[in-house]
Amino acid sequence: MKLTRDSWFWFAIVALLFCGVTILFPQIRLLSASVLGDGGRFAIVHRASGLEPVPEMSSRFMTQPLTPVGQYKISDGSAYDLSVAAEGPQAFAITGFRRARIVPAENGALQIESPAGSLNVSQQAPRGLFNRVAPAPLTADVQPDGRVLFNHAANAFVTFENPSLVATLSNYVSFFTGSETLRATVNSLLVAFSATALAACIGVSLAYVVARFRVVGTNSIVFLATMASVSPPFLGAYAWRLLLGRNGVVTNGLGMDFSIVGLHGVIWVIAWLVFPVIFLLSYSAFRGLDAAHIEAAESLGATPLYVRLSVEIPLAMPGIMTGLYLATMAALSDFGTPRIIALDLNVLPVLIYTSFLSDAGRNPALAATGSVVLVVISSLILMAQQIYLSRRGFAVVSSRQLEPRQLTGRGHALAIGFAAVVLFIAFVPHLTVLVTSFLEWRVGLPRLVLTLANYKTMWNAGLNSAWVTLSLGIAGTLIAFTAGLGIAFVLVRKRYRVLAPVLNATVMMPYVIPGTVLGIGLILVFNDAPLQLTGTWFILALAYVIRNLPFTVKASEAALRQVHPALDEAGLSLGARPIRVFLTITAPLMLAGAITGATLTFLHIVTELSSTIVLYRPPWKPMTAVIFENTLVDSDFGVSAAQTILLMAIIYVPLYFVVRYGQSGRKNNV
Amino acid sequence: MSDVSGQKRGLHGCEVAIANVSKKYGDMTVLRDITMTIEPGEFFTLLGPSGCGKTTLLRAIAGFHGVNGGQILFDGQNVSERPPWERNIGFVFQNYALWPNKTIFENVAYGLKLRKVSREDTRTRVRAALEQVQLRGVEDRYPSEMSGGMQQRIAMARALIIDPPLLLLDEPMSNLDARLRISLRQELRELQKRIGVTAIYVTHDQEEALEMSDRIAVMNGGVVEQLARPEDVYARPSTRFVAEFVGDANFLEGTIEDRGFTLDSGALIKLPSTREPGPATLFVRPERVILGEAGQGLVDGIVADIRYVGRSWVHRLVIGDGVSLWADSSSRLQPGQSVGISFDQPTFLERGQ
Repeated sequence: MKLTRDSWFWFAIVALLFCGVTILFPQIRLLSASVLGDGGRFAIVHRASGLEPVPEMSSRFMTQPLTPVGQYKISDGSAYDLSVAAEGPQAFAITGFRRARIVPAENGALQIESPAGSLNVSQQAPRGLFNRVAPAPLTADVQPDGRVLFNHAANAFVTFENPSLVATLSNYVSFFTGSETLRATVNSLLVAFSATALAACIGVSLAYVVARFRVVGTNSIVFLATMASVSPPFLGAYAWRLLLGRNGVVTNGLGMDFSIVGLHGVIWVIAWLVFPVIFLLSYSAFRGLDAAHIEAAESLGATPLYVRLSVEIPLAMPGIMTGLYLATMAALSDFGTPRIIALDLNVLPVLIYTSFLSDAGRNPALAATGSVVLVVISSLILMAQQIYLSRRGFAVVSSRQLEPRQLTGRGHALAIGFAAVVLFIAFVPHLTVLVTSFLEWRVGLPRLVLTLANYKTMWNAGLNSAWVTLSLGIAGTLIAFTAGLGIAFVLVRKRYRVLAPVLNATVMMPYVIPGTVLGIGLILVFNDAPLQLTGTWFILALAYVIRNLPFTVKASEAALRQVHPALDEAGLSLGARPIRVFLTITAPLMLAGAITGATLTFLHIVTELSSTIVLYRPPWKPMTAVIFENTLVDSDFGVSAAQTILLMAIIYVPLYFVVRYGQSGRKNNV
Repeated sequence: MSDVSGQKRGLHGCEVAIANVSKKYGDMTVLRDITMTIEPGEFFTLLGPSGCGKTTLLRAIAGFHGVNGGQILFDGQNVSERPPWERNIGFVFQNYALWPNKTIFENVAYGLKLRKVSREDTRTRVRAALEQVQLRGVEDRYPSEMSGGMQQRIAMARALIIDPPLLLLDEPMSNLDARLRISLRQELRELQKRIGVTAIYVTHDQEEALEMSDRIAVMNGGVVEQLARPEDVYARPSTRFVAEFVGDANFLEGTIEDRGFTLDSGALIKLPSTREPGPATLFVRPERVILGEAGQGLVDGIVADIRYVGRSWVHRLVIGDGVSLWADSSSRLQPGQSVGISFDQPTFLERGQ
């Protein structure tokens, strides 16, 4: 069949174009913003005392005094090699332009065009308080001998600026030499790795106990962990600061000299944020072990401890490592926790956010450089994980489910106690928010008076943000889900030689792009006509779709692999065209498997903070942004709590239905 | 083909011509210059071990993948460039490929729905198609509620309901248990002859091929080793591969001489030869080995060991210095006994094949 008649081929092309514009292009813009610097500038002040360069107003251009005093050599090391000398009290001449041409510009400025490029020249003349005469204008003339003669106002600062951008690594040099930026990088790595390590200690050991021993309430433990895994990412930070912050309820109540504010607090809170994903993946890895592997070791005389170390943990390692990887990525790119817990602690996502958006000290080049560094770090972590998995990528096909072992009475009590403590700490934020949402708040402190006032305030203030969140969640999920189904079909079934791998790589890119970086990239690309989307509902939807595309594509791919190709071919042989086969046969069969992925996408979207905070503009302000800002300004904690409860209802109701009815679906595979 | 039953609408089997068809996957050649013609209404089998290219050829006929060279013609029309949905074929898959989310009715009616057949008509035709494969009242059930044999029949009904002139079957019985498989063979064959459709059947089961086919193409390594009627394939295999793949076989390496056939080990079989003298392989089926008194046959052998396989005893005989020969016999001989061996329908094959 010819390729041009294949509608899937055209779908793949369109999908690739879309992903190229929305995923690849913003990253390229970021990268180029980080390696492009301005062309530099230099300034000369001409006072009665003579000509003098102004180093604090110069960049990239170096000035050196020459032997006749008052003359200077000026060079940027590449295009320009000039020398300047005074010519009378209000004039100086520059030699070194070859075939210069003077073009007048706006506001009395000039432009010097030469084969080396063009320079913008302007003057700033100080005006005396009582000076009624306007300063002399800046003029320039090319002399017959090639010199350029400048006439200017008295005591003027004359600035020469190279407006073109040049490729430079100076942004990176200053990034890795600046103490602030280096500190942020180190903090990020410190937070990511220590939080993951702490979470791994808790998550893996709890997973082992629950998976391998007969423990009462195993299903509830797993369900609670699943609930915790989809909590809003800032919830923990918000609640822990409420309890243990400098002015926290517990700290004040007990008069403690301890607060959670600081690096240790960020690590603690993020550890509890990422522990559920480690627990869930380790749990399924331990449950997936093949009984025969363990019995083989036991039959050879291995003690339980030895079996654990030599067989069970090594075989479960690929699953555990995937959990650790996801946890590290979440910890590395988490924006809300450090921002809420420790305002003065700089980590990369916060640094990128503040240098891109803050009113003072806006520095887009720094934001771009930080973004690239962050993406490179997460790509390196992904690469390490992939290398690990490719070396140990054995699929453990469980032929016989493991029988959980019986514990002694004391052991059982210990296991239940352990699980209870872990889950209690994990749900401290939820409980805190639930309780405080029903308390009366005065000047940022709760009083033990039960009230519904917070909910009333929320209701009266309007549920606009809830609608924004819901509409984004539903629209984003539908788009990501539909696109995911189609792209997965192209990747699994069509396997075009070049197109499919390129499409796969592009679609999977957001996997390593933290939300903050993704948001900034989108702003860079969609800030101008014809595609000006910044500040609209659409750019939020776009960001959410892109961020979740890797997950929906992977979920659909997994679902599609369960559908035997013969089911498609049966349709083709009966005379149905490929698109019709996809719509009437393949897609309905994938649906059951992909619906779980879609629910997760919905949950990700409604709890998404890091890209939201960069992209939203009122009135399109999702709940996460509203709650996040309220928690930062230390006001309205009660209303924030009520809003958080509403958000949790939006999350946990669909989750409940997926868990409740997800497993009972008809098995749809051949 | 003489029986024109009610559900037929001017149906005839089509002629399939395969002309110089080749297929490559990367550097690997899966089909090498295959040429054959399948007659209208014929039950034609592609037989061979896994990896021989039989399924690749069938899927190329269906249009599921293209070919790298040659043409496929239906009734003289080149269909090589036609996509599967324009070829009007019935295809029965190895795993039946019934859509698990659709009822039996929806499965069978799919092809009619595409052809915009009225609802009333569809209902009657689905019922007729199911009755044709001896199923009744299963329309509202789901495939997972049906046994393997029933699923196989439903897959057949779904393929046949669009009245295709060509029915392609890809090992449709390999997932069934042995007893059911045997009973379905005749049923399938009768159904195919009744409606007159041309059938191309892929299998690796030589018994199935021998029992059902009008003609068999034995394939190996992407080429057709022999294309003949079942009895010819069995009795007169053209290559050693065919002889070995279809049924049990004895091969004796030796040289044809004027006085008979001398084995490499030195023993002489006093067999008059119709072939030119020279090296050859003597091929004979175990059931064509006739055992008699020592000295009465073409050569003498000694019974080495005996296996009981139910319908007969299989004896391993040693001729001369260590050449083994398998022989079926309805009576049990004694180990160490000396017997005279002669052959019914011995065949000489080229050596070194």
